[in-house]
Order: sequence, then structure tokens, then C-alpha cells
Amino acid sequence: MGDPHPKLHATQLTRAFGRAPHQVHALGPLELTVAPGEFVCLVGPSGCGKSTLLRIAAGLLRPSTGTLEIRTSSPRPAAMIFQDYGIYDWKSVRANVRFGLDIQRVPRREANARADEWLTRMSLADFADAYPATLSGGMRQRVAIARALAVEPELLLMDEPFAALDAQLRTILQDELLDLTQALRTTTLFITHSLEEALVLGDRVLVMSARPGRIIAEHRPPFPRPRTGDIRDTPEFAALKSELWELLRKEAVPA
Amino acid sequence: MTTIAPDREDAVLVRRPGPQELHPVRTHRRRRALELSLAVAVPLALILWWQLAATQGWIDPRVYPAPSTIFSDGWDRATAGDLWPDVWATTRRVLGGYAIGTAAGYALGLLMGSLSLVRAALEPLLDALYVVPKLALLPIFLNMFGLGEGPQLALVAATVFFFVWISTMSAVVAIPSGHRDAGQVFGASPWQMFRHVLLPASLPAVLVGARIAAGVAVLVIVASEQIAATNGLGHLIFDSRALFQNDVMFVGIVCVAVLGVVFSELVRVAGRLLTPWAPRDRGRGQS
Amino acid sequence: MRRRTYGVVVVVAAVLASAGCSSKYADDSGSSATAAVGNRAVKPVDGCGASSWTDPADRSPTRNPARCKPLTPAPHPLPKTRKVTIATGTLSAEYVAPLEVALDKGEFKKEGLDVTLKVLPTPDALPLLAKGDIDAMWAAPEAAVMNGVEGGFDIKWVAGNFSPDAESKSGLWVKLKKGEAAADVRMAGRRMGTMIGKGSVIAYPMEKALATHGGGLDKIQYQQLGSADVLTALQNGGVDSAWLLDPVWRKVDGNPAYAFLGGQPLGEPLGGMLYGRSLLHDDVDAGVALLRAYIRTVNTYFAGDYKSDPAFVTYLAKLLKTDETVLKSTPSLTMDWEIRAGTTTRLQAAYKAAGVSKGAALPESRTVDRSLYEEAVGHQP
Repeated sequence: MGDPHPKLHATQLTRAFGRAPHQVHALGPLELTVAPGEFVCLVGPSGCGKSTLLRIAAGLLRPSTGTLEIRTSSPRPAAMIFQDYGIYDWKSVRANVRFGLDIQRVPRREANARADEWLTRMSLADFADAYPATLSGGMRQRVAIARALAVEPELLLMDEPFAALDAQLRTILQDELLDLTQALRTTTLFITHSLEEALVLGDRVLVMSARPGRIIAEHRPPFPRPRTGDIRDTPEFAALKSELWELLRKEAVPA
Repeated sequence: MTTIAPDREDAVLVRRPGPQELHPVRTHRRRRALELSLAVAVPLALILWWQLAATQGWIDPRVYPAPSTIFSDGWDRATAGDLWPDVWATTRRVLGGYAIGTAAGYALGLLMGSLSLVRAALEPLLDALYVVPKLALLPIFLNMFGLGEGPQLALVAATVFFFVWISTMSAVVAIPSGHRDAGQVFGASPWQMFRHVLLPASLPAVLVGARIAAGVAVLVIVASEQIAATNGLGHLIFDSRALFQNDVMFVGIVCVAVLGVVFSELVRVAGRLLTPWAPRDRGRGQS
Repeated sequence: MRRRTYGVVVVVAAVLASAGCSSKYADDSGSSATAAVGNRAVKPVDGCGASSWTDPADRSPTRNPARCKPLTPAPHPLPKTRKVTIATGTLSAEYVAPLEVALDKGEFKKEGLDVTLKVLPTPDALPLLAKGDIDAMWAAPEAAVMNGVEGGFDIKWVAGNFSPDAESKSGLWVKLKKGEAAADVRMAGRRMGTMIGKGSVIAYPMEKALATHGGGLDKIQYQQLGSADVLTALQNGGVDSAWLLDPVWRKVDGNPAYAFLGGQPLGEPLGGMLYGRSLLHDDVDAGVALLRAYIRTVNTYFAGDYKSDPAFVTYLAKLLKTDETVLKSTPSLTMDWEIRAGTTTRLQAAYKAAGVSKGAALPESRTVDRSLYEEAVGHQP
């Protein structure tokens, strides 16, 4: 595409862990460009460094070599949604959603208003004062999503957010997320194991190799926006899915 | 004629509703009543058995007074106003020492749990002090603080400190990194991280340590009052032992036991108020 | 459900019914005072004449203590050797010397007694004596003992230990305020330091010394300190009066800043041998034999000024494991196996003033038994 102002641009990115002789090359070398408003899905076998890439983008890790640039005016442009341990058991649902705003020292009244807006959007309004321990897994991930979106991030990072949920709930939440992100058009990096999930949600699907992870293939699901979950039933979906699976299977099998 | 046993007809195994399914409310109420009455009846039965043993002479009531003697002696003392000053003196020392020890232990535990440099600097020293029996430090405290309340408070505080410090530090260290990551990504400052994440995440484990420390504090004060005090329940117990007044000694022991239970329960209730999010289990094991 | 209710009712009824029954630990003090000893025949003893017994009512401070000739009363061994355990608070104090000398010279063995001296503080020894696990205590009728007798145990004071020499100044010392003379000292409101507990027999001479100076055990502030700290506290003003024992008082003797206000009364022993039921009832012969050996030791080795014999002082120092100079710094004690009349009554009055005992005082018949030492010297009542 060659967008002169990409939102995110990674050059020669690598990351290794540990010290020689037990060093593990987790990632790279990797090149990646994400345009503003793009929803990019990363699919790859376990241990290929997808999470590492995301953590570098989030600022939790530094790369070993190379750079990752994010075009932004804010020092903390990203919001991240984790697989678990994301939201805080000791805060009520409303306080959790408000967390990012509290960190930014948004006045309490405004923060509460924004949080309540998101609670309603995610159908969590009835649970605003409940503690997360009383919620199901699906509800908790909704809270995590609300928390991330409440700060109106410039970059949304999602690390297998639905992996801990059962298949039915997963499908439901995928549809909800699809709705939401199509309305917001936030630049998003989404990691998943599930090809189906990647194809439903993403503008681009990037397939990563086994460790050390590099991008070995890129596809653009040919489903025009706005989409719904019905695309799962189309023959193009199945065809694309099997094509990508062929690629992925080779990487997923241990050498 | 055959020796093979005749085919028996298969009996039918039936799964049918039991009392809990048919009469859930009644069953539940009965169960609760049973639990409650056991909780009351078992201690009561033990006391009655003790009373019986004392009056029947299975145990020497001059050495092990009957519960009725202990109770009447305690009542006489209480109404004469002799008991309260000792109870108050001991309670004051326990509360004071506990407050100091908990505050110091919590502060240091949080500090050392979150800042690995501080931890590296202080952990070996504190680990070494942890295993020193605090009663052995009483002579040192007597030298430092002289006679009076100082050594008592110092001893209780020192004992409580280590329990709270260790549970706090390990709780903070054990906070899942995912919690910290979330805070970091949102851009939390060290103070915000502390206030929103570290402090509340570590609180339930700290309260377990605090509850244990409550019981130990009472234990320690009784021992310390024997040596270095002129009033208090510990002093009462050992003074009456020196004067061969067994019934007074038992009054003191019973009072200390009650004090220990009440204090421990208070800490537990305080813990529940501080951690409204923590799941309650029906037993009294945790918080 | 019905059966359970019946069971509970039966148990409760049994408990209530038994509350009226008596226990096997019936009060065993007092009843047998006359029973055991009244039946014993007392024969005169060679070497113990008129001077071997003095009237208990004689409380003159210059009274000569009872004495027999040396090596008397002669041993009268028991048919079978008996083990006896005596508990004492310490083995290095001078007042324990007669027992240790008796043991060392084989006086107990001559009576057919196999004696063990056990070091046990009174709070630990007293319950054992009360239960019969040990036979005797070399201690004093302190408040704890009185409480034990009150509680129904059979314990009696059967022989005295010593009274102080007229020259001794062990007792109440005060730090004089500027220009104050000893006679003017007012004790009320003063702070007194002592290592002795409130229930000790010292309460009695303490009360007497305080009373003559306007104080009383209930009018002064009582500070219990370790023995090393008592003198220091007096010297640096931590307390303004202290009860100093042998030989600590030597350090302030002669110093005009300090005054001696009085000590243990002369001619009145305040401690000695305590017996439990084993030697008071079960085996009175052994009880008498034990006292006989003790009395003989006093007559033979401690009859007069025993510290005037340097060889004996050396021997004592080695036996007690103390320094000879320490022994020589204080005058000889007046060993006295007899018990004065009314001592326990006066002691109990002092305990009451100190607040460590309540209720009516016990009569002497429940706390003292002179018949055993009287039998040992052959005195007929």
C-alpha cells in the first residue's frame, strides 16, 4: 500500500531472551507496516513471538535490534487487552473501566460518565458495581474491552483475548468486537491462534513462521466492510481458511 | 440337574430424590441448626465434663479448679473492679504493639516487594532476625527502654512485624505480572501502580499474616508480662502461680484465651471490611 | 432424635447430682494434726537436757537458742533405708549450709535416710510438695504456702532455720535526703526496690520496719528488681529505699548518705523445713529422723560462732561454692531449729497488708507442727 504516514512501522525488528549460550531468538527479523485505522490480525504457531511483538508495541519490552515506530503525539498511545489477569478483582466493574482514565487524571465525574457510556455499550450497565469475581469469563473480557476502549486509544493491542472462552461465547464476542471496531476504526493489532477469528475480524491477516517468528504470508480477506459474522458461511471463507491452514500447518508441526 | 445357578432376575437400581431435593428449605434449616448447636454444645459438653471431673475427684480440684470455681472467682474479681485494670493493661499493650508492628511490617513489605534493590539490601538481614526468638530479645529491650511500657510494646511489635512483613513481601512479589503489565501499558506512575495495583492485590494475603500475628501477639505479651511488668493478665497468671492461688491463675488463663479469640476475630472482621471483593468461604479458615 | 434428647437429659442430671457429692481430694489439712502425733510415745534423749527446748512464747531478742551436746541427739536409724527428696531454692546461700553439711558428713545416712537436695524455686516445688511428689522443702511459710494450706493441702512448718546476728544489718536501707537523720525518715510515699516478691516472709520484718517510720506495705511504691539492680537503683536514685540482703548491705555500711532502719527480727526464725503429707502422716518416723539429723548437725557444727574457726570457713566455702571472703564479711548466723509462737500469725498479717492474701488468717494449728522437733530432742509436751 505504501502509505507515507503509517501508524505503526517496524524495521528489522528482533528480540532474543536470555544470555548466550542459552539465548532464545523469539522474534524476527520482522518488517511490518500498519496503516491508520487498519485491523491487522497475526496468526502463527505457539511460541512464534506474536505476543513478544505486541509487548514491544505496548512498550513493555524493548527490541534487541531494529526499531518499532508509532506515529502519535501521546507518550502512551496504546491500550492492551490480555488473555487473563487483565482486569482487577479489587475494583468494581465501573472502576475497572475507569482505570485508564484515572491514570490520566481525568476528573472523576467525566471519567464516570465515559465509563458508564462504555458499560452500556458493552451491555454491562447492570453490573457496574459488581466485582469481577462474580462475573463469568465472557463478561470479564467485555470489561477488559470496555476498559481499553474507554481511553480512546490510538493503537489497540489484543493478545488472544478470547482464547480462554468456550467456542460459543467466542463466536458471540467476535461478532460484538466486529461491530465495535467497524464503528470506531481504531488501528488494531490482534493476535490469535484461530484462523477463523483472524479472517472474520481482520483487514489484513499475517501468517507468522515458527520461532524465530517472521512474516511468511499476508492475505486480505476479500469481504467488504461493513461485515457481519455471516461471512463464516461463505465458500470464499472456507477456501481462504484452508489455504492459510496449509501454510500454517507446516509451521505448526515441530521440525 | 444342573449345578449352574439359575439366572436371577435383574434388580432395578433407582435414583430418586432425597430429603434435600424434596424439602430443600427444611433440610437446609435443620442442617444449619445442627451446625450451630454442635458449635455451642461441644464446648459446653467439655466444660460440663471438666466440672464433673472436678467435683467427682477424677482430677484434683485444688490444682485444677472446677469451671464453677473459676467463674465465680472471676466474677468476684470483676465486680470488685480488680480484673478490669489487668485486662485493660494487657489489651492496651497488645493493641499498641500490634499497630506498630503491622504498620512497620506492611510498609517494609510493600517497599521490599516492589523495589528489588531495597529487597536485595535488606532481605538477608531480616531473614536472619526472623528466626531469633523474640523473647530472647527482651533483655535487650529492657536495656533500651528501661522498665515500663516500652519493652512490652517493643516485643509485641517486633513479633508482629515479622509475620506481617513476610506475608506482605511475598504477596507483592507474587502479584501476577499481567496485573502490572496492564497498569504499565496505561502509563501508571510508580505511585499510581502502588495505589491501584500493588496495594490492593497484596491485601488478602497480608490479612492472613495479620490474623496469625494477632494470636501470636497475645501469646508474646503474656510471656513478657511475666518478666517485666507489674500488671496485666500475664503478670496475674504468673503472680498467682507464685502465690499458689490456682483459681486466680485459671481466671487469668481464661481471660487471656478470651482476649486472644476476640482479638483474632476483630482482625478477621476488619479484613473482610478491607477486602470486600475477596470471596467468602463458609468456613472460618481464611478471611 | 428422641434417644438423643434422653441421652442429653441423663448426662445433665448426672452432672448436677454429682455436684453435691464430695471428691476424693477431701480437705486433708487440719483434721489429722493431733491424730498422727498424739499417739506417738516420746522418750527422753541423751545429751538433750533442759536447754534443748525453749518456750515458744519467749520472743526476747537475746534468748539463747535451744542446744544439745555435740553429736546429739544420737542417730536412731530406720528399719529400712528411705529415699527423701528435699527441695530448696538455692545451694549457695549460707542458710542452706546445715543441710549441705549434714549431707556431706553422712548424718542423714546414719538415720537410714537417702536424701537428695533438689534446687527448685518455691512456685515449682510447692505444688509437688502438696501432691506428695517431693517430701520436704527447705524454704519458708510464704504467702504461697499459706494459700496452699487454705486451699486444702496438708503442709506444715516443722522446724526453723536461723535468726540473724545482732551485728547484721541485712534489711531496710534508705538513702538519706539532705540533712535528714535516720530517726526522722518518713517512709510513706517512698519508692522501695527489692528482689523479693510480695509474698515473701520478708514482708513481715519489712512491714515492721516501715511501720516505725510512718510507712506500711500499702503506703509505699513497691518496685521489684533483679538482685543486681537493687543496689544500683538505690545508689543512683532509681529508688530511695531498698531491702538489702547479705552481703550486699556491706557496700553501703558506714556511708553516711545511707541509713539502716531495721531488718529481720532477732530471735525469731522466719523459715526452715516444710513437710507435706508423706512425712507428716505416711511415715512420721522418717519425718522425725530427718529433723534429728538436722538438729544434730546444728549442735555439732553450728552451735556457736562457727565462723571463728578458719578451717571450718574454708570447708564451708568449698561446700557452698562461694568465696571465703564473702563468708567472712558477715557475722555467723544464729542457727535455730525452733519455731516461735505466733510467727505465722504475724506473717499472715503482713501478707494481708501487702495485699497478697485475703480472708481470715489460718490458726497456728493448721500451719505449724512443733511435735516432730520436740520428739527428736525428747521433749514431752
